[in-house]
Amino acid sequence: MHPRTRRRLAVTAAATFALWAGCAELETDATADATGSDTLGSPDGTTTGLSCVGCHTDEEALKAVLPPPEEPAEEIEGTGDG
Amino acid sequence: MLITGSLGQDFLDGVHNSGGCQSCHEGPADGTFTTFDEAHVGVVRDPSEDPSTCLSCHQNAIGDLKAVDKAGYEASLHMNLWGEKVTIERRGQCTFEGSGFEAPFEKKCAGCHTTCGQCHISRPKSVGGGFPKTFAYLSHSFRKKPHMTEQCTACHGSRVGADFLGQNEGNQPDTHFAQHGMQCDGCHSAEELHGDTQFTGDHYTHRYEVATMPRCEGCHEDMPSNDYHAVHGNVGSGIKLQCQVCHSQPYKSCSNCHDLVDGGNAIDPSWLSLKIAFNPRTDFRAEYDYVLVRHIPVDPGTWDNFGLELPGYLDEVTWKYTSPHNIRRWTAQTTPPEGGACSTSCHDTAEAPTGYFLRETDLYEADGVTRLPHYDANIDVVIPID
Repeated sequence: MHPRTRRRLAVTAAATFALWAGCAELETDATADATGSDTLGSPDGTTTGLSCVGCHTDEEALKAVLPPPEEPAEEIEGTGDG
Repeated sequence: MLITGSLGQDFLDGVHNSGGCQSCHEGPADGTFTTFDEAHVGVVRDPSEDPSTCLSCHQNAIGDLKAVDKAGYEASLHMNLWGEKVTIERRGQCTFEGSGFEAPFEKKCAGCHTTCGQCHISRPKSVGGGFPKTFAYLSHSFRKKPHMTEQCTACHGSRVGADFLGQNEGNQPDTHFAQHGMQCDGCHSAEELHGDTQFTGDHYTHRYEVATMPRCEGCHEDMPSNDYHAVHGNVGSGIKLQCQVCHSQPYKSCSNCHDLVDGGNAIDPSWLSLKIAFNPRTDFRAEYDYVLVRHIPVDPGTWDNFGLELPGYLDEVTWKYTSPHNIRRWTAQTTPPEGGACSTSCHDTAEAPTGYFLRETDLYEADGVTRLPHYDANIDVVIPID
């Protein structure tokens, strides 16, 4: 797949995910903690947006936004003495 | 880049996450983005590319972790690839910085430059990055000991890894691994790999110069007493052998590394052999008279595309000092015919005068008449036929 096409799909998938998750406005009673979980607190108890850990601990969320793995490159032996 | 499992949770609950992802990876604060693109603006994929990210804490001892020598790390071979750069300087008869070759080197050759994270957290960037996953998924865990196959041999794989793990046809794995369960850290200390400061000048120029590099004698100080050690184990005897001469199995050699042609490389396959030669590196291993050598000749036109000529190409041997990681006590060299001495399986074999010894004939094309381009570079290390 062309890299630009892959990128467009990833952006589209991210936008779709954002709509599905209702990311524009998330409501929760949980409060923020030091680990930066997606249960972020605000004075009135509502949260907005996403968090790093919110996606990076959710396999389905990552799959929705990451491009498919590229075909492995043809293996060429290294030439250092390593 | 999935943080999951018990090891992922340990990371989330641990000290390295006390400041949140952004404390190392930068990028926008949580709660301020709603799309993939917004989330990754300014995100630093490998924060440890800046050594101070980790050294700010780890230049001091922490618990059972020894301090990382800041000066040693910043001058280290792993981080700076001085070994490659110095060879370019010698062959190119230039100074690397200011040669105009820095950018192509960074793009084409520096893939195995590594960082703290690419040894202690993720897989090296040169093999695609991501978190290691063999049997167990290691997630974002910070590990004191790098993973042998997902990190160490991910870079050091085609020779060291294949040798050590017994992946070459006809060979057994290194006895240190197979019989004694040792991995890379069994010989290679953190001080060596992080970089020590015992170099002269600004930095080391070759891995064999490193003062803290493991030596066989470091553990095997008292060699078993036998005729072979007695004859071949004495410095100054004129026939002191590198340990690997007897205790290594055949290893890979190559013919035309990085032979650039239109559309890529045209590299002939490597082959397994074992070659003994006069020691080409008496500058750092002066005690050995005879050593194993590996043929790893970069093609003279390797950097033609980047305008870097190699007027000093023949100033470097292409049969290079080597220490294969495929050690066995009993090898073909030390397994004589029944009743015979080791000499009958080494220098007195039917295959001698060729066989194990690097001879002048090895510096010719298959026709036996045409000298190979690197003949002059290597003629002084071949063993003449008596």
